Amino acid sequence: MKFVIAYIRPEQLPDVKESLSEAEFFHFTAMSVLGTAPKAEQRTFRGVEQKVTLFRRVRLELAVKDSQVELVIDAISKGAMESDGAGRIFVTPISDAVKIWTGERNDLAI
Amino acid sequence: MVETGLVRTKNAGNVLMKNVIDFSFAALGYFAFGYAIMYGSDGALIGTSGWFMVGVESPVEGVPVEAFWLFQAVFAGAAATIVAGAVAERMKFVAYLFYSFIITAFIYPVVGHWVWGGGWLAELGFHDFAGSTVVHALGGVCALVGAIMLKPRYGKFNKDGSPNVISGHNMPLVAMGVFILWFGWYGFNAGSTLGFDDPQLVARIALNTTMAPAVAAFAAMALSWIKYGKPDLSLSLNGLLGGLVGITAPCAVVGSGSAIMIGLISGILVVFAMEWMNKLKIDDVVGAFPVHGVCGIFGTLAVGIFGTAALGSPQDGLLFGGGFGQLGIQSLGIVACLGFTAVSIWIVFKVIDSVIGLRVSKKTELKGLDIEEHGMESYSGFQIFTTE
Repeated sequence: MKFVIAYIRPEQLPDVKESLSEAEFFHFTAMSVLGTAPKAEQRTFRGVEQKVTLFRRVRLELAVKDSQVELVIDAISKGAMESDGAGRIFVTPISDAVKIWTGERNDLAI
Repeated sequence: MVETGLVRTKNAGNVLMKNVIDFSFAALGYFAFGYAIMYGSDGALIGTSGWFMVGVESPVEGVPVEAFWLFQAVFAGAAATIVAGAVAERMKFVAYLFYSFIITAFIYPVVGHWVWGGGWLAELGFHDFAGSTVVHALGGVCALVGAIMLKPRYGKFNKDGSPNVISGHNMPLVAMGVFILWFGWYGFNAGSTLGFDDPQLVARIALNTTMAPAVAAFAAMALSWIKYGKPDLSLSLNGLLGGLVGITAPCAVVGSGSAIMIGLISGILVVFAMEWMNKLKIDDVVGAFPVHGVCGIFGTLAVGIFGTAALGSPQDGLLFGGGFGQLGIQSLGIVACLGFTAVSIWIVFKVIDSVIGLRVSKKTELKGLDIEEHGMESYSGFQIFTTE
């Protein structure tokens, strides 16, 4: 089992959601986070210059079986590429998973 | 406040900017051109003197012209800002600036002249005491045209035509805004008497301005409860506003029993009209047309249904023995005013669209107008979702 974590821009979320749905990945968690960017941005607020280094990002998390990892990566990438293809995907192994209601473990829990 | 609370966080500042500029431009446009067109002279179609308020005299004895101008200018601003809510979240700010000046400087004053400035509708006996047509239906129609021309927001309607919910982000702001509007409406309606010579009249108007929205709020709440299973706060608030709009024209010439009926019907109309907008696939973000357009039209007609000559209407209304006479004049006025409004605002929007474009790009719309058009966040530091 793997935990797939994707960081995308909020503007990409509708497209990524659609591509995940098309690939039949219906269950994931989305979080609003702040992330860095290669270039800082200059903004002006009430006449004062401000250097912005942290930007709004969306962090998606989904647990998948090993066999589905590539499919998920493709689905997320397809959605993100609809705009400018920004974002990162990370895959980490999961040592155990539990579905609380039934007590099922491992692959059955995903 | 109402509009701000009903849009997403990423567009809140943009809506507020539009509201601020509406009153700024209303003051400027109505000062330079608007007042002259509306009250400058007694032509049938428009006034022609008093540009930049030079040489104007007050048309009302005992009221200084500056005070009279101020009272009229805020009506103009109110009409303009109705549109801001309907076109929210996708209209270019620059395009809105042009629209805002033109409506308060030219379009609103023409209609206002016909009805209040000695124009042809006033001559015919058309009665719109505080502006159900002149302010609200006018604004509502402009809102409708704008919402149609801008097309729905990204993600509002699915491919099969079914609507999605794009939630407002702050219901407390909406509620606060509605209460502030109700409070101010006593100025609009009761203040349109322009003096306290007739305390009975002022009191009756104030009472009607209390009963109609109160009943309308209840009616909208009850109807939303019956139709959708739970009493809906935003529909109740919109219904309340609809009641205020509906009583605006007839407030001087109806008794409180009629006011209650008018409020009841207005509240019900708002709920149904919201549904029609979705069925027609028109994305009117705050329900500006249901509240101001539909109830504005109804309120104007209500003069011809519930009004009485004893209380000051030109003729008795349909339910008080007067037949269809006044109702006919009211209908004529509605068709004329709103027809003129629809055509002229369509032209204005078309011209703006061809020169600079009306709608922002998809990327801007997704990122949010606050950051893209104004370079700042309204909710800096909040952990929020700007898309779903």
